[in-house]
Amino acid sequence: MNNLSTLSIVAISLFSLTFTSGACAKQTLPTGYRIDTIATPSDIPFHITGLDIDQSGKVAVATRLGDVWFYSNGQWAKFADGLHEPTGLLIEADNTVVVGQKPELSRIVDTNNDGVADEYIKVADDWTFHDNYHEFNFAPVKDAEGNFFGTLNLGHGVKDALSFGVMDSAGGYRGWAYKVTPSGEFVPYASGLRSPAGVGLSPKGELFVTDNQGDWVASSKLHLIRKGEFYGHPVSLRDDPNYTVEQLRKITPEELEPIRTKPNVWFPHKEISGSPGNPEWDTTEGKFGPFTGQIFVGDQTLSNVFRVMLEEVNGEYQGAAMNFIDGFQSGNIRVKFDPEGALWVGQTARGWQSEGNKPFGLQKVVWDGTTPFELLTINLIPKGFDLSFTQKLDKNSIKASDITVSSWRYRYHHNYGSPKVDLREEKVLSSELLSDQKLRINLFLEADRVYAINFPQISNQNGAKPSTTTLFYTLNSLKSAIE
Amino acid sequence: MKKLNYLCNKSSTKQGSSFLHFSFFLASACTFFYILSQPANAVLVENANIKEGKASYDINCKSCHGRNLEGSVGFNLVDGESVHGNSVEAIAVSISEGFSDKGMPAFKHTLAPQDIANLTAYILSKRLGFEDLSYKVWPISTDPSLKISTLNLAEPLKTGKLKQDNLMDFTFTELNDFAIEFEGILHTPTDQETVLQAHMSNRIQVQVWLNDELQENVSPAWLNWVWPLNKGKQKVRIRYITTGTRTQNDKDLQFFVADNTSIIKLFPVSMSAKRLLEDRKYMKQTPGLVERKRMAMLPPYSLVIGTGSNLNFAFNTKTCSIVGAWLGSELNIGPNIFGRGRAGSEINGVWVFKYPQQISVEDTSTCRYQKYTRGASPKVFYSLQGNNYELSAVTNDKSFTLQQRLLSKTESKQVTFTLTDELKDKVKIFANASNEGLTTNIEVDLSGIEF
Repeated sequence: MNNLSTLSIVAISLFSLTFTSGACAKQTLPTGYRIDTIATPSDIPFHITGLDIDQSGKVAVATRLGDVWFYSNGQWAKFADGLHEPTGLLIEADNTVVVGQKPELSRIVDTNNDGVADEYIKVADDWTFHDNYHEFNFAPVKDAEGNFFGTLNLGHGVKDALSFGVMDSAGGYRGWAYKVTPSGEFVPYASGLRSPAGVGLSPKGELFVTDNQGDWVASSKLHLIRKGEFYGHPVSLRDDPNYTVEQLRKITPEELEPIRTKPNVWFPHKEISGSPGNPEWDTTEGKFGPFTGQIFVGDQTLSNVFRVMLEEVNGEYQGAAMNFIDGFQSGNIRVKFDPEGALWVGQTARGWQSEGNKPFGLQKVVWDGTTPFELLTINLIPKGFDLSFTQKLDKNSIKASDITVSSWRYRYHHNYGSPKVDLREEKVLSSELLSDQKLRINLFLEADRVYAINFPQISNQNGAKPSTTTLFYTLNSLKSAIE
Repeated sequence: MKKLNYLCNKSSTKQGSSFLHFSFFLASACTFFYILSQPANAVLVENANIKEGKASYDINCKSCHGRNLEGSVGFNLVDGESVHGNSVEAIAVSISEGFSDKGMPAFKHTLAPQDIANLTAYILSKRLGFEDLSYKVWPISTDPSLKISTLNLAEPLKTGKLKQDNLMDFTFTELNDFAIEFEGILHTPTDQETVLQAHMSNRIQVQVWLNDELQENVSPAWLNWVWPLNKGKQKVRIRYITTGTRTQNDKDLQFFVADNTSIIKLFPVSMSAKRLLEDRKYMKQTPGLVERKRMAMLPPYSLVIGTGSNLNFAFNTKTCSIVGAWLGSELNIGPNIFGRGRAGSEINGVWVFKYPQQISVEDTSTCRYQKYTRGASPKVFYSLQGNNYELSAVTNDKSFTLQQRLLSKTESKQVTFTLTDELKDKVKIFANASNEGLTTNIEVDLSGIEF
């Protein structure tokens, strides 16, 4: 056990802010927020790939090397070890965690209350693990009925596996989301995922999954997962009884297009995300600032945290993604709010290169109560968008000509990622203040496109500008005027 | 058995410390002198016996220099970086005279000259890595279409030897676009098949010659290049051009000698490979440790269980079978740290048996693994044909016993085990009914396994 202290890096953050251009890029950091660094046990490669926090504020982490540690009152204590690349963890009780490791979903229990686990119980292992480095098991989240959910990464270079691009499946529900019922029944839940590294449950109990850009995945993305649906990567269909491997070998993107469910939100590649982790809903009721109800996602490549704003249009979720904070020390793969409303960020740079100068670590984002001037929400209207801000706007800063919008589509194909297709500039026809803090912009809209909206000139009444002035709205469906 | 042809006589070993400091030069001179003048009178190495050398090593040297000569209190003796010289004569002198200031005794007082010759022969037989490694460097054009196979190289810009002359370093040239060639005698184990292995993108342009014959990469796997090697000793030439390499970091090529599966990395032959292997992490297989990490050489879903007494075994959670056992106190989990974790963990010890040799239950389809418990004596719980069992291990010097106990009281049907051929002589299975209930003991004979 180690005596540890929490180190603030506010000074470093402020230092970065003084640079606005040139070799040192400006750090995005809204006013009122800071990043604290939590020292991890010395001499231990502490690649955090699982993170949970209980109601008392006790933090549990799973490390990629197979340990589970608790952190409370500034002290680290090892709870379990020997696991196989865990990529998720959930505190189930004071003495129990549930961990997703490559070959198994496991319940790990300290039965004699000495602080160290002594029982490692199988919860489920009904998928096939071919000992491939890429076959992660991202799990678990648990719903109100006690069901666990997780996702199974495709393989890469598995012998004799089915591949139409880069990633592959040798069978056994690779590329699927799964459910495990309280009685232990394993239910293959939905297919078509690639590297679904982020699993989350919304406050309403809906299952959301982020997936990483690559073959058949034009850009990283967020999906609401519904039972039986197919999310785009076809090799997973080999475990769908409606298909045979022979059929799949002949299948075309045109045949797959109508059966795939499109993302609720695209995360444009390298502009906001490269390898997203888990979605975490701000249920802090204001303890983390003005963004209650929104989703925060960490990114393992860009080492940033971005916000996702969802709205329901024609009965389906769609919405926007927008950078929130960048300049973290390592790749952000896990985020979780503590009871005080701080957002903890578990980090690893291992294997996939990350921004930042540390190979792993743990940081937390803390809000000091100062309301930042930022875009709060975006809502689609029939002929444009309504943009709400956290503070009153300077009415002279909202000229339509100062707001630039571009839009594009993505290709659905076996290639690795997709360029922006049919990219075009959109003219903002008008802009008007609907209220002190709300702006309406009108422009021509078309469904099935991503809209990048830039508002670099918008300021509050003190002349301050938001820390981020670009957002990306995924417009799957237009809003009718009648609605 | 291997024979050494010559070794300096006893009088030359008494030339003392000045000899040691200039060992390479003087040792060569000594050999020359000896061969010319005293061929019949040497401390004869004609019959140097490696097997006896190993026995002597185990008694006299192992505790300080490590079981595999890998070094501990004493220096590493395998990698050709011998501080006191690595010629036949220098090694013999080092053994004979010792280094009292470093705590190494002068073995001339306790070992006969022939013993020292045997020891020397054994140490030399274990030598690994490059010897006499030299390099040549050429600047090349920035033309992105340059192909290594058709490149004409004239006089090199630079030639020479590196400071650390048994490891290739691809980054020292200070040129952006260059060709580099390394050549040396590569020592590999004499008792196993090995390969030269590199982890790098398929864009990298490399050629490998073995005893002057150009070799093909035989690995179909992504990011893994493999060229088969001979046992013992060979001339190896490696040429690399930077054309097509994307970043400076990618130029820092990692070359290893690995076992013939290219799973187990035996030793590095480039600087960056050395750094990578130094990052390996060892976990003590202390009693009660159970590892689920992927094990190289074992099938997926294998639990690794440390029982104490240096004995470890692997239980497969899908087949309820014992798929491996080995002696050794550590598990190298290094390959699970670096990169993306493609390689599995490795044992640091000696296999008693490993998959496909296994002790399996007759009907694996009814195997339902449940859990394991940690503690001084870990236990694995599972069911077979609907009956619940618990498995644990008991060890002693000569054997270890896996004890499977029936937990369900309703059935008393005995589980039938199957042994693969190589295990039939060393594994005995017998059932035992006692107050504890019905148990099946699987006794594995450890005699003859040296560790």
